[in-house]
Amino acid sequence: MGMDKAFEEYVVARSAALLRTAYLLTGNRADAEDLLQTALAKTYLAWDRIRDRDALDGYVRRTLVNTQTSFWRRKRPESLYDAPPERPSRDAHADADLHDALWTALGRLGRRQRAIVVLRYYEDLSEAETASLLGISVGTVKSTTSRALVVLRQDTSLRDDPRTTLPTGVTA
Amino acid sequence: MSPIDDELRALLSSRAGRVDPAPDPLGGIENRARGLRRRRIVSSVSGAAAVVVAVAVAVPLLVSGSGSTAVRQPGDPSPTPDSVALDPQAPWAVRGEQIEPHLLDDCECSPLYVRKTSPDLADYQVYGISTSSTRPGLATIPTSVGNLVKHTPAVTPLPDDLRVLTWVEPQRLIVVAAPDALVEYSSEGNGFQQISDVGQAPKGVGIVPIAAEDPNDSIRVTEADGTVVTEPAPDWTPPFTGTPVNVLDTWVHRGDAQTVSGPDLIQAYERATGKTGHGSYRSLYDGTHNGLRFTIGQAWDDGEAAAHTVAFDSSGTFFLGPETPRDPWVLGAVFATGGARDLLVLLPRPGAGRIGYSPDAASAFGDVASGRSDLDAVGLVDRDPRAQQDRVQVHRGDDSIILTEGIAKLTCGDKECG
Repeated sequence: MGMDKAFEEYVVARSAALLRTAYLLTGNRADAEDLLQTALAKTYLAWDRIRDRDALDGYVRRTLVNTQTSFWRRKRPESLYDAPPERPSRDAHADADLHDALWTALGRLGRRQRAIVVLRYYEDLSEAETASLLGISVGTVKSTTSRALVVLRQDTSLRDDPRTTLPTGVTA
Repeated sequence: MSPIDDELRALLSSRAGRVDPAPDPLGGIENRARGLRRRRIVSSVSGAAAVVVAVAVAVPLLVSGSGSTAVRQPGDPSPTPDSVALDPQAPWAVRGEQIEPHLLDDCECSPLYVRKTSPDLADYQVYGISTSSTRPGLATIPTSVGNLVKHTPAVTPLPDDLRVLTWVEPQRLIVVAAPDALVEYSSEGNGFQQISDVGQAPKGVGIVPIAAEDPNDSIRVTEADGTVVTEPAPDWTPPFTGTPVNVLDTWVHRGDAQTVSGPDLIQAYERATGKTGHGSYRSLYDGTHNGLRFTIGQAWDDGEAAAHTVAFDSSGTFFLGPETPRDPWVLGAVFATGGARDLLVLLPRPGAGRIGYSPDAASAFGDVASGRSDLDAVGLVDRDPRAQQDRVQVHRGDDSIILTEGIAKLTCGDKECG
């Protein structure tokens, strides 16, 4: 096919950041690479139709999220997440323990819940931006986020941890 | 900000920060794009006795400078490799079946090859060039005698090389070349075998069964002037078979033959849902009301766990409903007619009894019945567009009430109502 130069430049410039997002969506490196490659291939096929090149990241993020749904159909979410990394010493681990538990709990969220958590808390998108990117209402973003936080909080290992107190207005 | 907000941000940032960049970010994208492009949209249309209109999506041959070779035969006195390339303004002669010209009256297209798709019913698939200024390209047009419906062609861009045009269908590759060309096919790197001017394939048209991806198969076209064009053959990827569990495959298709374009509906579905994969549509009812032809059914995209209730009409209006409930008693769709009333279509479960409609939360239910035998118990309601609390009531065959439901619940999707 012969790739468009601008597309190549975009991929080279942005693939590292997009791979990080894909990793958070999938929970493991192999699926993240697969997901990103598929999303970029779809972007490439649509390249001539994408007029607003400044909005490319949003397009690819949306494609990542939409494409990712099929990944979850093939495997149990629990099996997707990379095992928590080994830690050097026990003292440094209060936060690490919490993060490991939170990471595992994230793997149990529904795919849309997880995507919205990633977009809101990693990509730092506003509720309106997340809604626009996913093509859903702001209300759906709010309610999905709330439900996701409740689910995370209800995870056995996180339930009693004061560091996982829910935001005001969100009740289990 | 709350503790869990902070922890989530810290966790996600930390985990993402451990991800090393891919060593070759461009690697594999091109191949994957090629594979994606070759996949076809599947439009599944059900129906026991209904006329089934075959729908296929044209997939242009992926042509690049390196993938195609034009070889002049030794001794050719005046080799002109492009001399038999298709001119969209003056296309090749039509080959294959003869059909009534009026069947393509509404089509902005130049047919090149016509294939009969059912031996008993007069259904045809037309392969040609779309001459529409807004949608030029390779076109596939399903058409059917006795079904005077405007079929919107499925169109894909013209390939760069207009000497070999290819369409991929489930388990079938169709090659259209110049009328006097010899078309051959090689599978798995084996020798070439003639596929044009044999069996049902006329001169210059090759039809060959293909089972699955074969990275080594190729097409060879020898044109009348001796030019030999060799191309890698496009592959057919089997469609996604993981049908969502809520697809109502026990519901028979009712109404007329499918009246609107499946591919157009799928495109509308993907636009509405932001999907970028490959969609499927299963029609449950096709009908006409006051000149408006419409279809109601279910659409889903690869990997989706649930199908949505959708509808589409001949004016191109698309209705996106909610995820279809499992084993529902009734489905609903609303069409804006442009007049003072919307058209509400109520599709009860096959075998259900009469259905009633109430325009608000308090009024009594009136029977929805038009006496039209073609409706197959489907209810059509001229609905006030401002209605918000209107309801439907579904009865069993013994006339007992099985369901009373707000219309909004049937018609409101993720984003909006209809």
